[in-house]
Amino acid sequence: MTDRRSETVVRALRSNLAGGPAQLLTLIAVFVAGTGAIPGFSEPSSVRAMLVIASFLGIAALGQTLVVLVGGIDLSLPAMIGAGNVITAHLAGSGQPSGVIFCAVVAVGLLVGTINGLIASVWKVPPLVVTLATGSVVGGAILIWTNASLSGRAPDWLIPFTSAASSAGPVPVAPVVVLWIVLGLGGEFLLRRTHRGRQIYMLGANREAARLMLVSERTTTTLCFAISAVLGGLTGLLLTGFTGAGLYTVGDPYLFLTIASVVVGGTSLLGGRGGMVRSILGALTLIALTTILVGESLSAGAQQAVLGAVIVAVTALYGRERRVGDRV
Amino acid sequence: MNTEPKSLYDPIVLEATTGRDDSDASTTVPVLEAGALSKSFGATHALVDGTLTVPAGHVVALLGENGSGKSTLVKILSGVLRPDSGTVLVEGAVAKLKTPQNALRAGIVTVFQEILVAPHRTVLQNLWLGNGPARETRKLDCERRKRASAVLETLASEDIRLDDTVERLDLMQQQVCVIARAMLREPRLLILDESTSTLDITRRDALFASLKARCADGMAALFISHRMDEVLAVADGFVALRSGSVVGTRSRGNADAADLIRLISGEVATRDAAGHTATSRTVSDRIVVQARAAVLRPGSGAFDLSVRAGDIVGLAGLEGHGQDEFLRALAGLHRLAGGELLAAGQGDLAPVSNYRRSVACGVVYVPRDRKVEGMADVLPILDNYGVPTLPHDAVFGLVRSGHTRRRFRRDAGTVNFTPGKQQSMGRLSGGNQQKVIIARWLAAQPGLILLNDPTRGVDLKTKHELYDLFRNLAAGGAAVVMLSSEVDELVHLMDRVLVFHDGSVATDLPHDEVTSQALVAAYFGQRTADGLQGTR
Repeated sequence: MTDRRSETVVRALRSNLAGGPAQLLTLIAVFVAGTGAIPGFSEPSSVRAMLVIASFLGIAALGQTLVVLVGGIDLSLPAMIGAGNVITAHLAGSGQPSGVIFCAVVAVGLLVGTINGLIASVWKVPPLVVTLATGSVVGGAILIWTNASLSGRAPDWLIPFTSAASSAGPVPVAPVVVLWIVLGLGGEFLLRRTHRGRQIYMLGANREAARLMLVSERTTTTLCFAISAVLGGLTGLLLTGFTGAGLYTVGDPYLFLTIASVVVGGTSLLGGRGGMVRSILGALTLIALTTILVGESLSAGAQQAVLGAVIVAVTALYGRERRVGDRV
Repeated sequence: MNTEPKSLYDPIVLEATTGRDDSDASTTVPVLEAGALSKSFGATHALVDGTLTVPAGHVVALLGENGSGKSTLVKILSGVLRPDSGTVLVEGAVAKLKTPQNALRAGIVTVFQEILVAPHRTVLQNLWLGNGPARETRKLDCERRKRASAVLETLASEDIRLDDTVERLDLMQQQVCVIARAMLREPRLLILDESTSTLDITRRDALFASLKARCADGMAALFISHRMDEVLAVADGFVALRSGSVVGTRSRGNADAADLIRLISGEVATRDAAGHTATSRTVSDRIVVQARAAVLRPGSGAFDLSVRAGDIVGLAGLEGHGQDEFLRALAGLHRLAGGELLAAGQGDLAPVSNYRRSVACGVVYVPRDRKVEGMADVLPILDNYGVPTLPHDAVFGLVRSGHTRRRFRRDAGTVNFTPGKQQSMGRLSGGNQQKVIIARWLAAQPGLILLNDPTRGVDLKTKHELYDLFRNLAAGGAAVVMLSSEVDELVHLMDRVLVFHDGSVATDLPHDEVTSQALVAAYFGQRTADGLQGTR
């Protein structure tokens, strides 16, 4: 009897390890390693700075998570981040109010995301191809518009919003961090508790079965891509506060990083498994890791190589645990 | 009923029970002797002291419900799983079966339940996949073609062209390819694990004839099927498993269906397979399906028919003769080439337009291939049950999971499924998965239930539970239209069987006229209906 109970405990532990705590443990391990390796790593000021950097990545990664959950991948995110960044700086530079800027960024995101989703679901073009193409179109358009120059300026309110030194009311972190966490938890809640949320999982897990369960592939896919592009644009907008001006290449590192956040968080690239909170943990882990590498003054090339290797190792670890969980 | 456990360790008893020719069995070494094989997964004992002897020249049927340990035993013999303890002797020598390659080298070739093909390669390449050198010389190619054609011919599948890519073949032809691939390896022991489920009668009989011929040359075979008629037709010996243990053996002479079912299920009093309850139902006059000059595919014949509420109607025919299209057309998933099709769920008869509207009207469809169309095995059972009907549980767009759970308990009760601790759909047995899928649609309060071969790959006990469920649904006033490839099912369960031939309804058999002979005759278009009656 006790033997059976311990078996059950071990089994529950294993499956739970694959479904959350493993990601948390990884984050803690990276953080502890950083504290040991870099002096001042766990100082409040350093942590607050890391949180701000993680929030930019994290908001974009929330969008990527949605697209990955329906079995796709959004390669247009860097272009959308660039577009959001440039649009914000330009409009702020020409004295437009923040409301107009916000609406413009969201509108461009909705347009691009809807096109992505419709082409992918109606014409059955692989999302990889569609988003690569639309990303290229958006990137090209921005390039023509700005002549590839650093331009414009950030809206005034945005600088304290994204400054590591500022705090959101009683919470001693930048407002952008709070925004990120609220979006992530809200997204997770909606995914779990709404009909559309469950449809997203069903569509990602088995397209054909989902169709027979009355899931509209077109609506659901388009929704996910649209939200992803809007969140990409929003990331670009927020980055203006951090960079101070508009530059269309600002989104470039985020292609690899958003996908890596999703994967390190434990969301399956095959679709149907994962969630927003996982990607929050994934983004935090990645930023902590990058900070360690920068602190150890590795060259950009070496940073990239180490980061890649760590991701391979981490995903191999999660993958193994999941299989053990499935077998029992 | 239960053979004394001790006698299982006595090889003489086993050989006597499986022996067709006693003098032969006692003088030659059996092809396979598996002794005391055990395998546990965590707390679950999947196989306990599995003991099995297969003499040369014999087909031994392995019987048991899902979860009885058959698959575990087969996987151990094929080198896919390693046993915790026990030995396997192949022709008297200890065989180390650590990998599938080991098993193949020992002469054990397994055809698994799943159809394992490389869809983009040609038939010829698939037939020789992993067998012999990969480099192709003209001489080798010529030799391979000759032998592949010969094997396909013995399986009555000369129509499969060696140079077609496999993805262009239908499911049955792919299955034939997988069996032919195993045959080409010239096995000492051939294991067929539910690999006859998609074969039609011609191909199946050809396979059985081919098995007999090879066994006469000294091969041995282990045969697994949920279809009692197949098992009785082909096996020389029977080994029954229940809850991971061998519970009895029979030989051809002393076995009959009722006895074997008792052995497998462990129930003293099994239901009479022929327990037909149509008479106890009141069949209403409400028409729920009507076809008017319906043409399923361009060029096939037009037909009229109607189905009344309260009936269980079987759709039968050789694979690919239109029964599948008809069922899918009723669900709004297949467009007719001509004519009109009307269906009624809860309301009045209305033309079938599309799937979504059909479901909204109470016409529901349970697809054939559970894994591909029926469910998402990585998601929780509750999602697989609830996704189409979740709006019922939502307040201001937020789903209350307690409500979903309560609904699930109710519908699970109706289909006789007991939700356990298991949360993931993929870990349920095939029968329980099918119950969850049916429960999903009961939640939509259907008036017309379309079932596409719902008992395929489902163990016997669950099959009977499903039959009872279908009868209850029909008694409750719903119409059940069910495609079936199993003769027993058609004979005993259905109030009426529509046999399809060449894309149209060729024969409309009322319950009293449904016999296996009549069905087989109708499959081959022996009796064409000149005046189909709408209702019986």
